[in-house]
Amino acid sequence: MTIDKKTVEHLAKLSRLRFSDNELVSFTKSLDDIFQYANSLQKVNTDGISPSAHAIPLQNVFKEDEVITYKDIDKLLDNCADVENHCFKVPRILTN
Amino acid sequence: MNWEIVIGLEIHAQMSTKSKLMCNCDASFTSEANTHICPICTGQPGMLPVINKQVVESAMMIGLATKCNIRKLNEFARKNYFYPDLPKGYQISQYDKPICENGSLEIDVNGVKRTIGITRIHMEEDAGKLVHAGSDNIKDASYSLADLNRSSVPLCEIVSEPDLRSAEEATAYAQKIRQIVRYLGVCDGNMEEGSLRCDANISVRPKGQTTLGTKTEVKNLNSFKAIEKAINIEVERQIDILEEGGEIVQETRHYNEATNSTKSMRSKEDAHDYRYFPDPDLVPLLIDDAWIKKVQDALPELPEEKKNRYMNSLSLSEYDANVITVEKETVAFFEETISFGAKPKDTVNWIMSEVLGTLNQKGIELSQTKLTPKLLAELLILIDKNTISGKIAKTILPQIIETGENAEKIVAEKGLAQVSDQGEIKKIVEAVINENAKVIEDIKGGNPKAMGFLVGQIMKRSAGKANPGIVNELLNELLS
Repeated sequence: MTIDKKTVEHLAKLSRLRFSDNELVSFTKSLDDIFQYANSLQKVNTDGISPSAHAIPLQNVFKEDEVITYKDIDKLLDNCADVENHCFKVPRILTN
Repeated sequence: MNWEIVIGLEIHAQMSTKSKLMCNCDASFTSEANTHICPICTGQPGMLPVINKQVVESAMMIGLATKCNIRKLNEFARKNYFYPDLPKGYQISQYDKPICENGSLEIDVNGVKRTIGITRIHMEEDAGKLVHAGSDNIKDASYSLADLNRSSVPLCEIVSEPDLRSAEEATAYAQKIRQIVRYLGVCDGNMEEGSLRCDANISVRPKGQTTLGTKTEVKNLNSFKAIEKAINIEVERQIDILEEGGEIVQETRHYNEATNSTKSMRSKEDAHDYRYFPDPDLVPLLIDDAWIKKVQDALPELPEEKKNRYMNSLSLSEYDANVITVEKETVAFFEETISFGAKPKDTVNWIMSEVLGTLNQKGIELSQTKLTPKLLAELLILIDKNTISGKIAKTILPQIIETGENAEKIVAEKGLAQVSDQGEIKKIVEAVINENAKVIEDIKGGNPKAMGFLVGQIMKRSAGKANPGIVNELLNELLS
């Protein structure tokens, strides 16, 4: 499988991003390179090895159940394109 | 044709932890939008979620209380979809390795006991809340506003086997789940506020057929009444279609309580492909036997165990043991009341009828009154010692509930103590006999109702204070 321009356009749409034609060409190539590199993992023989989602042998990392109030909420709202009534304003969800 | 109804329930229970599933934000409800948020629950780039240990233990508690196997090696998965209430673009959930599996629960509908299988229980995060601007209807809204306070609030999803065979059974099962999570103290069970949400998978098949019919998933069941009504109306709809030779479309349907009908939301055929995969941000969760044992040992006594104990060691009837154990608050009140020396059977009767009856009239909860278990026990002991009659006790209960004064004080102040002085009662009995010559004739003529009338008159004249036992004794003596 390869990443083509159509896939990148689709991803951009889902992510609400707009790319120029030049960017589209360049991102398609970069993403495909990354994808092909990751694909090389398929060549590794994994017979008899149980599936794992993690490379490092780490387990049971927890936080305690306590409330710590985050102080910079305004910064989070600033990351949104539009804010109304202290809410993240998002475009119309369903179109007819 | 004779149809069999097949129902499975998915119940989302909001865990009553202090903080959220993956971050330290306050998990409690607030109407002030976006005040319980941080970079993690708003999905900012570079954030790293870490699991709240209490949620894991709460899930284990529900699993152990419903006889599930607890999985040793747990993984969290990303459920990918794009929607503005989900800032990360995926929901952290569990997929093929849920924390609890293969449990069961016993339900009782009109004396018929059935065991309902529990397929799985898994942990996941809630999504945010959207307000659609410009219209009540999402379709006509010009834009929407996202409040992410609820984003990443911890949920446990409890999935039953398709073992339920009627709307009544489904309701009984949901009530049982609510009772258990409330006893465990892991969820407040408030359906109106959405702490307990229920979806029903419903299908019908000709009786005797072993394969399942095509199911629909009915959402928006916000009360036990809604569960029952929605299932009945959906079953009726499916049977009508099949009997007219039609086919059921597998889809999600939304229940509208106002019109008591279900309406198609979206077809499952073009449902999202969630592209589940293990979340690389979260390390594996290993649960060993020692941890399971620790949680098991700390489990509170569950409704079923309490019920059996009350029947065996307190000699309560199954009915009494059932009604008193329904609500966690009521059962705690009951246990404390009997610890002050009140008789169990009397205590059940008084709590269920008089106390809850009075509170219902006032529209308040047990926790909001000045009545304490000690005060109720003192009242019941006064009846038991024949200091006051049950009737008098009923008249002073509202005052205790209102003021928190003890029964003995009220009885003394109002002079309500039962009169057991033979001489004093005899005077009243004689006076009433003298004034009711006609009634006495009736009694001697063998009319039992006339006797009741006479007792009533005597009690009335004594302002309800005469000891009824002594009244009866004296009446029999004087009339023989």
